[in-house]
Amino acid sequence: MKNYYYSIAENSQNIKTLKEQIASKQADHDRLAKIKSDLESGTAKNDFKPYLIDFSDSTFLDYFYKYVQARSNSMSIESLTLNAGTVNEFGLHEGSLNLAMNFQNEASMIEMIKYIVYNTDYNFFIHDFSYPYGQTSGPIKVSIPIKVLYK
Amino acid sequence: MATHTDDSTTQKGGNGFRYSLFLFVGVCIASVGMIAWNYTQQLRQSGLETDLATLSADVEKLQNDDEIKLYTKLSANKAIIDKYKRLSKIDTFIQSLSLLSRTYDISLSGFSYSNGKLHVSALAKNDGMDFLTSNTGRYKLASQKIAKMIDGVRADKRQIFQLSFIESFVGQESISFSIELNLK
Repeated sequence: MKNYYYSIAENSQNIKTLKEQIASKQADHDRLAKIKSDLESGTAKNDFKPYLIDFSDSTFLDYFYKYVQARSNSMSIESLTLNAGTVNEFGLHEGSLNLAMNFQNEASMIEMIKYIVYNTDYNFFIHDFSYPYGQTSGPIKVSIPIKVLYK
Repeated sequence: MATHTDDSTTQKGGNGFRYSLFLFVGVCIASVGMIAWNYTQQLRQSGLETDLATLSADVEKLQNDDEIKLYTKLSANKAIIDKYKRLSKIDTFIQSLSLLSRTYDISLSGFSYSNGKLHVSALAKNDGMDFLTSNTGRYKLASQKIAKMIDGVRADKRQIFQLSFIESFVGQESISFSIELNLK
């Protein structure tokens, strides 16, 4: 009898603990399932897409050359160099591209910078950039170092 | 009298037996009840353990999903990524610089930007000896143009840059100096 009493008391405690653990796991599960659902069809899908890319030479080649060749009267590419990079401090790959280009004028250079920075397909960042601002109204030759964040 | 005592004793004995019987039956019922309850609880516990194991496996599967892992990393570092984006708006920086040059009539040259810090060379020229033009209110003296620019940029809350202390000015009719702007 006494053993049964203790067993019942112990079981009650175990059941209480299990219910708490299930509630906590269920909350984790619901949170993760919502993320998955958002990534597949919801709001996060578009923001997330640029991170899922592979660092692909052919893709980047096509992305830049196609744009510039369509504007060959105002800009041209001298070279494009690619480096897949390594994983940075927050766990994402940080690759780098360097685009050496010639522009007919400052306006065409700014147009190219906008094409790089404000695109929705890739996470391109320009954190270093120099050019002869205010010193020329003619052709500009610049090097554009681009960071790429991806999975 | 003796018969009455015997009857009383027999009656007490009968009651005692009944009480004992009731007690025994009660204990038996309680025991069976506890065994049954214990058994039910064990079944329930076992069911909950199975539920927990299934749920844990599902959670682990979701946690190991590559997209969710990436999303978790991005969420944890959202502030840094937003800063990365802000630091890349080169076109806005150039626009801001052009506006500054036009507003204060100061020539700027040599855009050099690195991680939120922008360096340019500046040159202000005297346009005459008057302190102000009569109709536009624009300053004519190079030194006044520069002073107005320094105060104006520092006071402008909409300005995306913060102007660093300028350590040297060279010249008098034409004053050249360096500007360091830090992205706010």
